[in-house]
Amino acid sequence: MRDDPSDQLAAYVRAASALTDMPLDADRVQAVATALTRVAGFAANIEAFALADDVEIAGSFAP
Amino acid sequence: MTAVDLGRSVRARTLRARAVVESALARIAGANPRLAAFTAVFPERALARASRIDAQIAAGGDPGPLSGVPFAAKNLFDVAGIVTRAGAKVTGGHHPAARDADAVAALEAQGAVLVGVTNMDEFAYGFVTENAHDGTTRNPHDVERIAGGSSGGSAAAVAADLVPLALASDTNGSIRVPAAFCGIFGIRPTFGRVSRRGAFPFASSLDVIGPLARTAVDLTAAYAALDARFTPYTGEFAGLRFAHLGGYFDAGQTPEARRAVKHVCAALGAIDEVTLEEAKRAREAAFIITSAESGELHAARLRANADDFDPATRDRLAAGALLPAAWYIRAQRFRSWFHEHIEELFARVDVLVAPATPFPATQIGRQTLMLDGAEFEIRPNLGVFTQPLTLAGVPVVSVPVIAPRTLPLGVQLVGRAGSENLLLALAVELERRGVVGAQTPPALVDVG
Repeated sequence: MRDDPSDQLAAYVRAASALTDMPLDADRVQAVATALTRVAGFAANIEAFALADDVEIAGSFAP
Repeated sequence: MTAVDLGRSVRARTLRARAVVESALARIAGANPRLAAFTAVFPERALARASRIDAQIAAGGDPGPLSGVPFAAKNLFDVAGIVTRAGAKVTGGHHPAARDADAVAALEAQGAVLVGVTNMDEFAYGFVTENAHDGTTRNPHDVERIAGGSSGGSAAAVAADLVPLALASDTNGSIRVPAAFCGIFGIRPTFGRVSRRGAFPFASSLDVIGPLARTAVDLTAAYAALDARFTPYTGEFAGLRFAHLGGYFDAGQTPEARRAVKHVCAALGAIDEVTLEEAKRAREAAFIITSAESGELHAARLRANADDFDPATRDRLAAGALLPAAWYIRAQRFRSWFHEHIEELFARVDVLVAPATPFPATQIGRQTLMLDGAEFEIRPNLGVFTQPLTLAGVPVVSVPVIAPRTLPLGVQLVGRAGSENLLLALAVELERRGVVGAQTPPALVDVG
């Protein structure tokens, strides 16, 4: 069962919601996991894009 | 009458500001039950201010170029003495705002008069303005269709001629999408260019605010009031390098949307086609950043009052509150790369032309449509052409394309950071030549 990505996401949502004290009933766990599925797909695409280590969020100081 | 003409007439005392505001209030009262564009109207405040403007002019003073011009603001802008709801029920218990948002104050400093606040997707999280608490804003061009979002109330109010100007916000396209669907002008300024103080945030590293108007001249006047650094464009148009954005921006749209872009490209002489590499990933990065920032913003409210959220919003926000930090950081790092990449593109080109939406306004409640032979989810994809440009932080003016017997469509004019004056001047020129312009929607009120 844990090999199914949607089950993995639902398990993640249950764990993360418990850790962050955001109670979710079973229906909402599934709904949140569904919403997270789309984001996870996008995140995988961004992860696949090679970024050099010096590409920073804040930018670097250049005198 | 345009905002600029109204202001001129009030200053010349051929019109009284009070009469102008009374007329706007009457139009709102007549059309709003059908449109659901406004969520609150402030007749007492507006009429008192209009009377003060008339008195100031009578005494020889000059309240400014927008004297007596009525305007609306999306209901995420602070209005002194009013609770800022941002389209939500869960914000109803907040304290009333102590002062007006900077953008409201800036327009009023030029003589304009706030008459009310407008409908939006809850917390600006959507492109449809189908709000569970305040109802669905209807498109003045076809009331069975959406006005777009999240600034749908502001766009519908302007398109229906209830007010000539409105304030809106744009995180992923919330000015440009409703401007396109309602057939009006809108500008997303360079990130950080216009003060957001007093505007309820959505995804604060992407949020900007800007105006909507029925004419490009009015849009320029409103923008000039909001941006203290604004100076009109004084250069020539000849010699500017225009280009059609191809690749990602040329796919996944109806023939009408493609024709609208070609129409504007032809008028500008945009013969060259360029590609913005990684536009798809840019959209995905904007999606992740939006999800994470908005989820974190509302996490405490989701813990305490989840049942008070709009069902269309709640679980997307919860997903954002729980997503791994590494996804967000990676998206922000990609943003840094993309920002440099688009700067390189603007070394070769001055203005890019792209569609604002893949298709015209869809029917209210509709979830999918057929596009290029495949079923296409509407709601998550309305920002497909606006979101990549959001990530770049560059200014964009959405112009309404004139095409007879069709629903409105918008085209994005995209410039390098800080080029608002050029983009606005181009919009004015295209409007003057009859290439773009707002069309009058069918009458919304039975006056017989």
